[in-house]
Amino acid sequence: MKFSWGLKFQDNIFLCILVCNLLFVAHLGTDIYHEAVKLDIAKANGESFLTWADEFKKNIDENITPSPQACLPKGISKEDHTWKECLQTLLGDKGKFHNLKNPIDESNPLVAKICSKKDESSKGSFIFEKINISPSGIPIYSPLEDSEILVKGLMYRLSVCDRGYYRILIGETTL
Amino acid sequence: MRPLKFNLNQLNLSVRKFIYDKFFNPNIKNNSYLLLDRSITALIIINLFGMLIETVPAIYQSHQSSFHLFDQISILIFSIEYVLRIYVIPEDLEFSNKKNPRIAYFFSPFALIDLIAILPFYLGAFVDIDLRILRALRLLRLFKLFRTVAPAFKAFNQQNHGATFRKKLYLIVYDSEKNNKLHEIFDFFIILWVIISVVCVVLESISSFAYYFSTVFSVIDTIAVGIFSTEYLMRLYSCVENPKYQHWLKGRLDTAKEGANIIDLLSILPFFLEAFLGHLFDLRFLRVFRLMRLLKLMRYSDAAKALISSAKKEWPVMKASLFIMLLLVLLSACLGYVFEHDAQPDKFENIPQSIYWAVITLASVGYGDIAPITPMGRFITIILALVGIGIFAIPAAVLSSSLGEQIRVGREKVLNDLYSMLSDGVLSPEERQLIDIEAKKFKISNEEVDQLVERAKNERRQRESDENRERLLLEILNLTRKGQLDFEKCAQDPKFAAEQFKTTLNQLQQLLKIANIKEMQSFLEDENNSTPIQLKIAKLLIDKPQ
Repeated sequence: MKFSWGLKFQDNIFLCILVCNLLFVAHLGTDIYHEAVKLDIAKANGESFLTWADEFKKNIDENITPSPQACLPKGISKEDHTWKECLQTLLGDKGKFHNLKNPIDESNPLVAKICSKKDESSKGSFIFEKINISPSGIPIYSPLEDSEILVKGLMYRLSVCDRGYYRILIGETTL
Repeated sequence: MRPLKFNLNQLNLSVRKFIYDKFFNPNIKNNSYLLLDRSITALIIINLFGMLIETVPAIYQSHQSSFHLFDQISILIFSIEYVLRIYVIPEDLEFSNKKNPRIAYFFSPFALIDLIAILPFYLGAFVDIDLRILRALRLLRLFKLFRTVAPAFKAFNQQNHGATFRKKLYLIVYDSEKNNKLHEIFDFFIILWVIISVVCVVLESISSFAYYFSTVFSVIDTIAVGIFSTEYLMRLYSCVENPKYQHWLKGRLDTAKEGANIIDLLSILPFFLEAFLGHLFDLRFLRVFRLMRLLKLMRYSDAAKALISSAKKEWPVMKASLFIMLLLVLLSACLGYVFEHDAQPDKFENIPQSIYWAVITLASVGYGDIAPITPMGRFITIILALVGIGIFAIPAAVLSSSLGEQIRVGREKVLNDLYSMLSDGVLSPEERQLIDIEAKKFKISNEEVDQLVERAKNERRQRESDENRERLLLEILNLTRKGQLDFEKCAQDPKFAAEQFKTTLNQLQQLLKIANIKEMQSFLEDENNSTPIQLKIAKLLIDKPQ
């Protein structure tokens, strides 16, 4: 028995609507997918930063003076360094992470203070937060200020601000 | 002793026949055909998810060997299936009449699909192919699913030959009484995607899963929205085939307003809203509404349909009970507030807060976070707890009895259908299939259906026998009235003779009721008036008149 679709004019219109809907969903899905891929890149960048930070701490603990000097904590280094100096060295032209860019929007800075809709440029940025442990043992998070003097044992966490301005935690580390 | 002849060819044929009948013959009931078919389908779907998960580098790198092993096992199973199919194909009626069945099968579309599902793996072993291309080629395994869909499509085409495209669409999308395998596959596909997307939404709430699988989740969600939106459009387009919704616009609007279709729309809406308005508002909270997709399953659950229909039927009683419940909650909350506010201003701060306490107490939950401390407050709580048990039990009891009633009515309907189908004395396979569909709706097991069939058959036999007996009696009565006894028929038909005997006996019993027993007995006891057997029968009837 030969199969016949028996298509009428309205059936063809319906099929067109169906195809358009699928194309539209695929288009939106592709956008969402690309955003998700960009976010994955941001997460991977964050992970590489934390890997470096852990390695840096390990070297300090093993009395191997790591570079850059600007990130060395008080006591190990002869002079005090601030978080801003450390970041500038790392992200600067000769820094380890000089090639990192904000993957979600390249015009946005790589590091932001807070992840908030009020600051649209924070989309895709790294958010560094200092961790203080309260006497009751509850961690308290506050933005890691540029003027923060680097000291041994400084705990901080790194997050990525996604396109909906939600903070995605990458991890925590100690200097 | 006869010498044992070992015929290798005969053994080969019987093994081939056994394998074909056991695993590949769709026409034999209770063989492993369906099991194999479903297992292969499940393996293909697992393969697809394996491929998706592999795209997450963190997982792939740490479990590379497991992924590789799974791939090898899948290929082994697919290869065994492929080889077995080629081996047993001469048993298949479609190919058995060909000159060389195996070669004919080898070039058939199904065999080619099976081959391309496994070929890239073997090619990769011998030829240096880019791993990414090899991975992409594994997607070809999905074509194997056509093996399940194609026969159903063929049967559907035969069943609905000449129907319009929209009608065909309607039969695929909507539940029909006909045995429609394609509709079953469609339902299964939608149910599968509902489960997949709901599992993804649940897993997405786990931060570690969301972290590693965000890309995979976004792909799955897009595919799910594509599928569900297509389903929604198909439903809206084809609904006018339903006599209830024939008008091209009003019919579609009425369909769109149905509860199940509203759920369908709400399950896809968050995706579009987020895409359109995501840059204006933070609509991420809408994502949780994707869980509404779970409600789509209600369309496929007869039990859920029965529960909703019971609730609708009993709505007046439920409404009254809810009204009393509402009154009680408000009254108790007010009293609780009046008596407890001064003693515990932080807990019974206002009436809405007291409503929370009243509901928790009435429902016998009793978290204990808010508890009365004044004597009057405690007294109110005692009353509330006691009344609450009864008030909250009413809707549950009403629903459960209504549900029980519905099942009973359903069973009776199945039994009545059975009676009407058995009116010709035979239950054909088609009729049995219809009964099975009906029984499935009312959660009647196969064993119960068998029992009902047996019961209906027995009752029919009994009814027939009663009717025959009545007919015979009428015949005898007519003859008796005429004062005739058809000895010839009595000699031919033992049943007729037995009925004649019973009628005669009945007449004798009636005679004893009207006659003067004492005089009659003394008359019969005279040897000249009766034989010994006549006297014996008379005595027996006099002693035991009934």
